Amino acid sequence: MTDASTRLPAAATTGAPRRGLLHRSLPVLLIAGFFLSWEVIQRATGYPPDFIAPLPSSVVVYTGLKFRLLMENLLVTVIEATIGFVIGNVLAVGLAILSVFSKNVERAIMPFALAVRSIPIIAITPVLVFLLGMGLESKIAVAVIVSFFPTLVNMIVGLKTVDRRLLELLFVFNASKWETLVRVRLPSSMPSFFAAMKIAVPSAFLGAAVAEWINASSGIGYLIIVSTYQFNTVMLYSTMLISTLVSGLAYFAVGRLEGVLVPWQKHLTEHLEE
Amino acid sequence: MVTPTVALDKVTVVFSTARGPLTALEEVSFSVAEGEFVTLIGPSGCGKSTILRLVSDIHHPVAGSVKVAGDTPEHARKKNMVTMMFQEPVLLPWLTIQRNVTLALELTRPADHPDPLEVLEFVGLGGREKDYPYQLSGGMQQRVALARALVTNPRVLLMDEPFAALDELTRDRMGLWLLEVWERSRKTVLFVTHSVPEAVHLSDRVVVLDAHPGRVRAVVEINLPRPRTEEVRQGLEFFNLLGTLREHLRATQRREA
Repeated sequence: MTDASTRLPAAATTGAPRRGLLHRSLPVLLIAGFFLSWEVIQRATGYPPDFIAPLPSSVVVYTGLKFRLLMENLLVTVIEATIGFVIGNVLAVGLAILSVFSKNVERAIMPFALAVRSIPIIAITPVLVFLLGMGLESKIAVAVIVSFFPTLVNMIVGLKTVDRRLLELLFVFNASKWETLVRVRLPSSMPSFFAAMKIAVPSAFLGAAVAEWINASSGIGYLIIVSTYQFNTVMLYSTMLISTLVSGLAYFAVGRLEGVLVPWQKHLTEHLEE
Repeated sequence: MVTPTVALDKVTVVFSTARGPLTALEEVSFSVAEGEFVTLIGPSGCGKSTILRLVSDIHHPVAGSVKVAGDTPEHARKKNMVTMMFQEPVLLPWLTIQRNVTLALELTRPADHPDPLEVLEFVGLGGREKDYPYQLSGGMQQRVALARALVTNPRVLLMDEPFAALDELTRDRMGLWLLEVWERSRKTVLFVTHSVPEAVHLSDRVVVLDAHPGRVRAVVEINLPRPRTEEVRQGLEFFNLLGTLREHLRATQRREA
């Protein structure tokens, strides 16, 4: 540590408590700095032109002006994503549990799940629209597919990665397969489950938005397509801003939920770091 | 003749491995009487842990018989006569100490069992029942594991190197403490260790095993008075027994070489 601070005098002058604050506010500072320099450079040089990239400040103002429109469309996408997410996860957790009871289940579903996962969403979406129509169903189906796979893979691993001696102990205690699942396998799979959630929650939202590109009359994805066709770049950037905020908030919420529901994991890793 | 609590009669265990069949145990016979403390000692690969797994019905012999209180290990397990302890405490991190102990009761549902809080008191963890495993030291976590093993009121306690992961000082203290607990509860104990002093200190009898395949080389009676006070452990008898056991263990090593 001493070596590092002598080689980096700037870091040494900030001192320990201030460095802690800096450490925490670093991501915010970085983002704010990026947009501030963008604003300043674009105002000073006129480059890039605002039909390619509008001023960050005008995006914020536009978002405020069109807030109602954005929220109405956001709500549609959030509903699609949430329904798809719930269905995808219930299916994935259910199949992962079945695969604990029978190896054949895992052998049967994994190639199928992998195949579905390997097809690009942009290619599978038109098919789903033909199949399920232009309403919510096709968007929900895309959200199901994108949230199903990460949960399935992580849950199978999570439910199976249990200390062998713990399983032996439960056997000696005459625990049934069901008791073993509920008492040990499910709680110990929680960290894996939340690792999957951190991927599945934003991808369900983005999946639903992408599905709206193909055919929709509302939703964030619909707004993206409309604003592109109309060369309404301010609107396009507003939808980007909203989408990013929603995905980020969802990710953050999952993290907080994990902290509440899986508090022991934090303690275990903290002990490792010590 | 009284039925021994644990009896192995010409037990042979063969594992199939990638390099073909491996004889883990060959015609192993010995028995443990009710309330007796018997230790298994021997080089790595002598099948010490396998013997515990036979008694707890996890493995099955290809020949010979294993009996627990005159019954099959499966019946003994279903009647909750056997519990186990490992080198690691293997506690559930999301449950409090008390819930870790009562979990054993919820799974086994014994008709008659001691009060979990009293058992925790008994192992010296009174007042810690609301804590989580990570808040306890390694030695204390092993005490929880023992409380969990004792709360179902088993007849046989299988201990697979329970103190091997602890530091020397804690290990010694845990040994003394285990003897105290054992002298009050008088469970039948089958204990596995690599430590010669630990074997002499704790046991009524020590079974020395050969490796590859696992065979009984010798059974050494530990005729030391109980309680095994510091005085007993400093005595000449104790050192003679250490010598005898080490001699037997060296013989198993010579066979290996």
